[in-house]
Parts: sequence; C-alpha cells; structure tokens
Amino acid sequence: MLVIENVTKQYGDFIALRNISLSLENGVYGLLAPNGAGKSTLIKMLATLITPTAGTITYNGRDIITLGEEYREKLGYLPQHFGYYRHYTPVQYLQYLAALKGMPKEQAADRIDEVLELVALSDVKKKKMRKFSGGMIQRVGIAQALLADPQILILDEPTAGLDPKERARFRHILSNLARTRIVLLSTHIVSDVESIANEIIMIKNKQLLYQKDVASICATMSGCIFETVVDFADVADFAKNYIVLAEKQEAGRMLIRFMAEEQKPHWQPVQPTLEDVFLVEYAQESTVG
Amino acid sequence: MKTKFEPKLPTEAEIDRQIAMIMEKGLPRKQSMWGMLGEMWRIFPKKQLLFERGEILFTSLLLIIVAAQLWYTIEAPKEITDSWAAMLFLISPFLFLALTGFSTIRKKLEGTLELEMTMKYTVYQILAIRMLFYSIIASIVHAGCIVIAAQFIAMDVFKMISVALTGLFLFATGLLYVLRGRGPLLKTILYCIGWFAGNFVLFGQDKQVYTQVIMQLPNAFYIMIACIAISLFLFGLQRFFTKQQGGTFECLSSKM
Repeated sequence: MLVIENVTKQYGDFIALRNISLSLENGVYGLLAPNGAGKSTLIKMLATLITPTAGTITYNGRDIITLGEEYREKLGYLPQHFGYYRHYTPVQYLQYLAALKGMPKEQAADRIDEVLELVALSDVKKKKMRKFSGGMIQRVGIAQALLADPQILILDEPTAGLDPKERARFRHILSNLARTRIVLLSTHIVSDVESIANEIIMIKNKQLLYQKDVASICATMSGCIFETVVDFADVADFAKNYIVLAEKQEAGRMLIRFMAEEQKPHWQPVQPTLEDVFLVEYAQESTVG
Repeated sequence: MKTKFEPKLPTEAEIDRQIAMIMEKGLPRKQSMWGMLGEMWRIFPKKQLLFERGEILFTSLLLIIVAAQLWYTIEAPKEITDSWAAMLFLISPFLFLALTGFSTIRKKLEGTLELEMTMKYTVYQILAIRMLFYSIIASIVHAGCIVIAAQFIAMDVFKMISVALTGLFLFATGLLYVLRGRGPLLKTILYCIGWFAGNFVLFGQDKQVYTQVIMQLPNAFYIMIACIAISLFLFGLQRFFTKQQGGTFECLSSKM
C-alpha cells in the first residue's frame, strides 16, 4: 500500500500542493485535474524525483526516500515528457533501461519482446526512433514503464499522441495489469480514466477534492445537470448565467448541456458524467503551464 | 498405559541453519560498492554504458583543440620537457571530464534524465562507474603516451607518469566533491575554469618557477601524492556511489 500523508510541496512562497493525504492499493487510480493543478508535482514526489516540503510518503509502512533502490525497483514510471535517444532503436533503448532497472540480460531480452508486442511495436523494434511518430515514441515510453513488471505503475499523461484505437488498447492493458498492482494515471482527459479507474483523485486549489469512485463523484452533481435548446442569439446570454458544459447544433438551434442549482421549465435533467463534474469544479480555476 | 510423548527437537545444525535464514531475510547484507560495480558491469550493455554515440569524436576533437592550443603556448624546444609536465597536468583532467561530463549533459539535453533517475541504479552510480572506468583508461593512455614520447624527448618517464596521475586524480576527487552538491553544472564549470585558469596563471606568471616546482620535487614525493590522490578519489567515489538520489532531480533542475 502506498500512503501519502499530509504532503505539502512548496517552492519558496509558492505552494504547489497542500496537505494531500491519499492511500493507494491495487487498482487503477485516475489523477484528474486541469493543467497546472499540481498533478505532475504529486507524480514526481511519488517517483522520488522531488521530496515533499512536509508530510510523508510510505510504501508498506516505510518511507520511499529511505527505501531508495528497493522502492525504485518496484516502480514503473512514464514522465509527461518522455525523453529518448534518437539514434537508438526501441530494442537498444529498452536494453539500456532494463539494465538501469537491474534486470539480467537474459531476462531483459525476453521481456523486451513481450512489452513491444503489447504496445504493437514488434515490427519496428529495430528501427531508429528518430523515424518514429509521436504516438510510436509514446508507446515505447509505455513499454519501458512495463518492462520490469512493476508493482507501482505511475503514468503521467500517457495517452498524449495516441489515436483512439491505441488509447483503447492502452486502457485494456491497464485494466489487466491493475488487478495485481497500483496503477496511477495522471491525465486531464476524462475519457482516459472514466471507464477503467477504480477511484478518481481530483485536486483543486492545491488540495484534495475527491478520492472516490466515478459513480460517487458523479452523484455529487445529481439533479444539477440539464439540457435545453436555445436560439443561437441567446447562447451568449445563457452562458453568462449558467456553467455551460457542452454545445451542439441541432435543427437550426443550439442544444446546451449545463449546470444549474434548480430545474426550470423546458430543461431536461440528465445523468451527470465525470466530465461534467470536472468542468463544473474547475470552471473558475485558471490554468498555469 | 499411556506412553509419554517425546517431541522431536531439531538438531544443532538445523537450528543454526534456521537462524542463518532468519538473519539473511531480516538483516540483508548490504552489498559493497565493488560488489555492485561488478554486478552493474555484468548487466549493462557496454556500448551504451561507456561509449555513447559521438562521445569519442567529441572528446578527440576537444583534445586536439586543447593540445594544439597548449602546444602553441609552449616555448622553444629546449624547454619542451618542462612544458610537457605543465601540459600533462592540464590535459589529464580535461580528458577525464570530457568523457564523464558529456553523457550527463546529453541526458539533460535529450530529456532522459528525469526517467533515468527513477531507475534502480542512480545517476550517481552510473556516473561513478564511468568515472572509474575512464580514470583507469586515462591512466593507461597517459602512461603509454609518456613512454612513447620518451623515445623522442629526454624526460624522466617515472616523474611524468606521476605528474599525470596526480593531476588526474586530484582533479577527479575535487570533481566528485563538486558533483555531490546543489547546482552541479555551474559548480563544475567554475571548478574547471578555476583549475585551468589557476594553472595557466601559475605557468604564465613565472614559467621557470612553475616548471621547476613540478620538475624538482623528488619522485618519492610524487608517488606519495599520487597514492594520496588515488585514495582520496576512491574514497570520494564510494561516497558518491552511495549518495541517496531522493530529491536530486530538484538539484539538477535548480536554476544556476
């Protein structure tokens, strides 16, 4: 179990995160927040890249910094900006990373083939990565995170650059893996986690907003999400009074999905989705970075 | 009549074996630096660990530039032996730095540092194995060059080798100390500038005194200094190798 207890991260006068407390067991956790909310800061602390200003992060009761190598052996990490050596092939790069992870050569060779197969890169495993598309590079990144069969898998914006088919494949991989390990997926794309996450972690105003399953989070907006149709000329005024979540042109008018405290005539109540909650909760937040 | 039950007690050998197993699990023996270095040497693909692309070309080019510059500043051939000592003292560390620093800078530029710092083996350990390897190679190369040069120039081979090794390992020890703290890139640059500038200034101010200081000191003194420098280097390397990496990303990313 990974326990984050009253963790704060401060850079001079700037507070990036304040008093975050979480506990993570086997399963998929979606870390959902807009850009600049502190997701990557939390991720980096879990990956031991930065240390908390206050609070502790423990794995099975022991501080992860003190554990050091023992913790990093169990860790698979995909950073937001996955760096690679352009002149390496995927096999060469994974060989190097496998060695950094302490995998014996014989074990690494078989495992490299396995993970490349998993991310559908077997056909190009001996091509230099400078010829790869962004999506292919990202898949190499996912492959390296899975290389040592980690007990803790931390992925920061892993679906960037992946097409819908690749995203679906990726979700399927994670769902299978999460039965026996902790998977933390940091994203601002709701659909990446909505269908597979056991719990969603949302951060707002540098503090923890929710750590709950999707249904419970959606229930917080129950009875507050509506749809109605308005004329194009009225859309701007409508948006001033209510939080607009989505707009769609329909039969010469605009179908609007929005949040309101009370129902009015001609409004159709609809089931809140995770994206609705995301948009409402962060409607007033400014994004940085 | 009931028979008395006599439990079968384990033998002394079995008890010792069980105790040893409990101790091994409960108090795992910490692997020594040399043990870990051996393990890393076996696991790592050598080409990717030691000879990254462009490194050899980069280092060779730099060496040619520095050597040419130094040669240009060296005076008339009659003083060439003395100038060699100064040149060795300057070049040895530079070769070492080029070979170890290039890959670290490249990791930062290519953006792989963040990922590599989350691995089992720390960036310090990788750097340490490279430093050890290149210090051995640099020592062998210098000794070889000096022996070859001695065929054409009159010089005390033993003293020259001692001077080269002293320069190399004193510089390397200082570099290890610099790399352990915050803002290592800036500190490394300042350290190198200080080392080279200091030696250039000394050489420039009074060549005769500078070269005589180097040339007149007895061989035994240089052997002693070289041994001390190598010992300090190995001690520094061990501390560097076992340095905790927690939060290092902040240090390496900190503004200069």
